[in-house]
Amino acid sequence: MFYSTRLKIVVSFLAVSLIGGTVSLLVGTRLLYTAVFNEARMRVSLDLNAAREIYNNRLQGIKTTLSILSQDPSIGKAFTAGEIPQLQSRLGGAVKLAGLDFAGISAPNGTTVCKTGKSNSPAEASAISNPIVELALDRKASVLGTVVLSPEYLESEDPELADRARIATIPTLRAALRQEGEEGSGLALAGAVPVFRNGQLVCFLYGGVLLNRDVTIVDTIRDTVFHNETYKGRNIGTATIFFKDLRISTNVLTPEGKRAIGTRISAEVKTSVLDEGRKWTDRAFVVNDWYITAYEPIEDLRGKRVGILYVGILEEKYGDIRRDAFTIFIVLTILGMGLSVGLGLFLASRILRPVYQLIEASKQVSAGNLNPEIDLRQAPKSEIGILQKTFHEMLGSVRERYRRQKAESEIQLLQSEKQASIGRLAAGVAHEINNPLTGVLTFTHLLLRRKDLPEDVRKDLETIAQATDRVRKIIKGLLDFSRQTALYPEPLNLHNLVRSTVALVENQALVKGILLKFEPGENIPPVTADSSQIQSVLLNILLNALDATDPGGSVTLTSRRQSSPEKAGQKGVALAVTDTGCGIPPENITKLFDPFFSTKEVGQGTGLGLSVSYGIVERHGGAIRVKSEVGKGSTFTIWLPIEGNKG
Amino acid sequence: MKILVVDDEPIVLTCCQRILEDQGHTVHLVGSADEAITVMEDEPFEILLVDIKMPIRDGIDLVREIKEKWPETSVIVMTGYATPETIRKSRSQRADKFIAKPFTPDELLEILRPIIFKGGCR
Repeated sequence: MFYSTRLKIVVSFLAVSLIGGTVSLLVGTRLLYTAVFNEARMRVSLDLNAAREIYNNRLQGIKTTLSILSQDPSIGKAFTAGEIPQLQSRLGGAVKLAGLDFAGISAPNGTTVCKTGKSNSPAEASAISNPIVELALDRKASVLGTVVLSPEYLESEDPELADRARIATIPTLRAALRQEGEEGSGLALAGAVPVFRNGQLVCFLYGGVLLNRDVTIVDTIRDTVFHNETYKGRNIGTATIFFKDLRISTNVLTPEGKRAIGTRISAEVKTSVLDEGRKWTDRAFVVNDWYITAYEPIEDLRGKRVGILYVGILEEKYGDIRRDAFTIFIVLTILGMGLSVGLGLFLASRILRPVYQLIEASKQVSAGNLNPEIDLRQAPKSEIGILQKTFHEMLGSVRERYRRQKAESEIQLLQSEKQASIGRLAAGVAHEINNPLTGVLTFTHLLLRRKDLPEDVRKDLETIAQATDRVRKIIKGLLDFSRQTALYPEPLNLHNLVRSTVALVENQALVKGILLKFEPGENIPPVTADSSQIQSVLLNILLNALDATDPGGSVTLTSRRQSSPEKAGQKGVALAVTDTGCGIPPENITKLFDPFFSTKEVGQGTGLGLSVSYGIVERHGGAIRVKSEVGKGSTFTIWLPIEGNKG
Repeated sequence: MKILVVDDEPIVLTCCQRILEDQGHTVHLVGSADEAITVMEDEPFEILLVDIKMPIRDGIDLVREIKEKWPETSVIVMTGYATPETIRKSRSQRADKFIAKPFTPDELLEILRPIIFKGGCR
């Protein structure tokens, strides 16, 4: 039970932080990934441009070599003179310098005159057409570019080249379906340059580099563009030249660590780049790993797409970045959650501690302890603090009331005990006294019967008898007073009671010449009371009133509805007896209801009447009040409650 | 008449004796209910004067027994304080009369007169 609020608070904190954390995690990592990925793609795109530059540079290199050579007059001269060996050595030297794979000179009609390759007999040479020179002849200009060379041609140039060009296709995932086998054609960077002598076209100088199994371009790209950067032992940057969709020159490695020559590009990329001629940048699975890749088509001399240039960055590095970021996010989220749980617990206990205290205090109060511990020192200024303070105050007033009630009931208890013990004492005393009193009374009277008494003795005896008789009355009065008669309350019609009581004293009033009247009020409800006792009270007061009033005066009884003179809100009836008598002096008013107080002549009254009357009315839950003015008269008011009594 | 007075208080017995013997009645005095029974068994009286408040066995109980065993006896009950309950109780045991202590000789005789007049019966 105790933990439900705390749990709720903690759970809400947790939920908020969890939701917040998860959302930011998801959104954040997504954004991060996208940003990183886009950066990488852009970078790769740029890298591809750089790669293309390097590719073109190579081409330019070839052209420069050929151009410079073509400018050399000795070439033309040697050609015209038909000095093949000289030409060959010149070419050979240039080829070595420029790093060309093949070079040769063609006659203006297209036939190859000499070449640097191993197979060198002119007879065989003229059988295969030289596509480069052909194009140069066609265009009547120097040509430079990528070109596909047939296996036969390669064979004719240099068998080694043909060997190099032979690449067995290795099955690769995601590659387009193709017949497995071997590729014999080669992709080359080549150019042909016309040689002029005296303004006349003498011959064509051609040369090139076979891209198949070449490493220079791709490694240059790797070194320049990617700075040979490694990540976990692998090169971050890779470059590939594809012939059609076949990897012919690459630094992408197989799982065994060898260059993945002969592997093929994925069908998707092939379609997009080779077939449709589009640039492609995205993440792709290259042989072994995921790379962020960029592909663009390579066009040959005639503008036909013959291959693909590729660069790729190992995605892993970025992936790792991403994963690290993700991990950090998660850790942060978990930390956040932990923090929020802690915060929630802290707040919960801060808020709830005073609540628990109050609960505990309430329990104690229910169990009867009106003084539970409430620590107000750290009461917050908030509503909880106010609650605590208010609770404390409430307890204070409850204690106060309880104490007062207890005091009152103790007083009452004491009173009634006192009365009871006085009563018992009085009754005991009275009984004891009655017996010897019988003796005194009897013998006094017996003596008085004697006829031989002197008058003075008789008188004295009479005095004794009277005194003893008075003692008898006093004792009876005492017993009456101390005896608290049980109440037998019933619904009482006050007016009837008043009328019957008035009837009892009517004669007496008449005889004395006092006007006795009853003016009943309206809508007087019945009261719950013991009729004989209330009658004795009314009688007592009436008789007193008659005694106090001189002939010619009046005694008036009235009744009316009235709420309690003491307790606001309690409904009752007030019965007033007003006389026009001598009134009661102020000093006597306070003693009026004391037992044995009497202003009457000796022997007239016992002085017990009013105190007994007071007791009776009080036990009914009512009260008697007196208002008096000396010389004018007095009013005695009996107030009785309508419902129930406190007896 | 022969009257049996039952009271644990000697002064009361003395008073009753004086008042009644003055009138010429024969008075027998006992101090407790049991003694009264013993006397009655020995020699029944026609009139009894019984005090209510007595130790060991109170007057009401004596009245009951007297009325059981000697129904024609007239019983007058004496009491120090005549409350309605006391009166009711004695009536219920069929006491014939009731007198409150202390009383004057005249008051006692007044109570007795109808009984004596009727010869001690009803």
